[in-house]
Amino acid sequence: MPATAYGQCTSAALGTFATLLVADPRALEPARDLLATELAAIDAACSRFRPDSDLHRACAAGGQPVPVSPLFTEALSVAVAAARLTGGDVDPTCGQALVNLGYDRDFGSAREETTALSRPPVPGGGWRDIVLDSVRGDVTVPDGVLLDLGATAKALAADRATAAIAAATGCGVLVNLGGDISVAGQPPDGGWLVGIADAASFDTTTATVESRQLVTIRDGGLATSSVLGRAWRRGGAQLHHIVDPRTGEPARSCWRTVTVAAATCVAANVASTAAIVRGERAVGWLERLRLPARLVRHDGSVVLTAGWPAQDNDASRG
Amino acid sequence: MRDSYEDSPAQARDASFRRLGRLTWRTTQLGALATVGFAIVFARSAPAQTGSAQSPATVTPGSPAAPSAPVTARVGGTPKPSAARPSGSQPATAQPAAPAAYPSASTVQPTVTSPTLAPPTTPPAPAPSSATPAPTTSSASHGGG
Repeated sequence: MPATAYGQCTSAALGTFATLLVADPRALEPARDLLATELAAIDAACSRFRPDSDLHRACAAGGQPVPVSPLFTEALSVAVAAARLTGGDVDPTCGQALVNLGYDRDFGSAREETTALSRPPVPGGGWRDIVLDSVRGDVTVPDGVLLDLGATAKALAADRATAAIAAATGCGVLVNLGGDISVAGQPPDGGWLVGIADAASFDTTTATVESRQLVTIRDGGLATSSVLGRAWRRGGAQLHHIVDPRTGEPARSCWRTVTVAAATCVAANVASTAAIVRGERAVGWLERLRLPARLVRHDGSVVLTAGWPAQDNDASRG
Repeated sequence: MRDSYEDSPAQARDASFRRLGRLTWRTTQLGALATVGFAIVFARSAPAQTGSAQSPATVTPGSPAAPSAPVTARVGGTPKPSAARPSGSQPATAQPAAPAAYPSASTVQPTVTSPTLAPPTTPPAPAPSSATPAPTTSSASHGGG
């Protein structure tokens, strides 16, 4: 495949990185502005660490209705729909569980703390009692429930950004927010070239990550969930950010990394996160949904589903 | 000249009763026709309105496509009408004159944006062997979901 003259830029955003690719380099400047606007909006609406965010206000209202922005309503709607679609495996009400696990501030700071945990795990499940008023534009979060939309809000931002950029510029676009990739518009010849990685030592600030596989995508989204990247230690225990809502503890999964391709980045993210929580059952579930996926066990062996392309160094295929 | 029914008070009364009866019958017929007409118009318009409200993927809060009947949705359970809301908070777009045209509580999707776990139109393909290094990577990053 010949080198493609993408317009490209990468910056820090949402506690991770944001990479923007546009098929026409002339569209990079307006695309970058649109992406920045979308990221600022999603952060203002959904940040768990900003006292002025819609999420923070909704969780602090003691179970009373709170007027929120349309974007937060959309993000929360997506999150609870994800919970419903996965039988509660992807649960937006695991915020308190993450706090009790030590993820109570920006990840870069939280992982510096290594003392033993002092609070018990908190199961999720509160999403069933969230109330959305579509007319008044307010939401009611049950008292004591702390939301965390991290599993879906970032993917939603990627989908929204690519849709807006493609509509405004008329050219193909790819947005990668910390591994959650959304594409829209006319892709370059041959599609978008994307590396798939699952190395434990991967640092998002390093541009030289080693890809385990190269694939091309033309539409929809691609997301990777892993117990490796956002992980930390407390009191000698290794923890990670994908919580099993039934226990409030980090999911004990047979997979270390799951990558899924879907019609949207949100769908890909929801499926990859749920697959980590579901463990072995995820293979049949993904096959039934016809979602192409690449699942990596802790020993490095790989299981592929629904037409995910094989690669020579993949150990096994589902 | 005098009308014949005026010849006898009893005959005049009977004639008046017959005319009143005919008038009542025609009024009843008109009412029935009007009812059938309303039913036809309603049957044509109600499914379209209900259908649009049942398309959660396209309904966004506050958008023109959103159901105009006030609805509160308990996202994990059964949606319910927001009857307890103060009447002053009713939106100007509410149309109580045709309540059956709006979705019942059991048909309202609780979310305004409902993603589906659908596959991509084109699945990922293997990169050509001559591919250059990927310009971006989906990975187990610190920001990965």
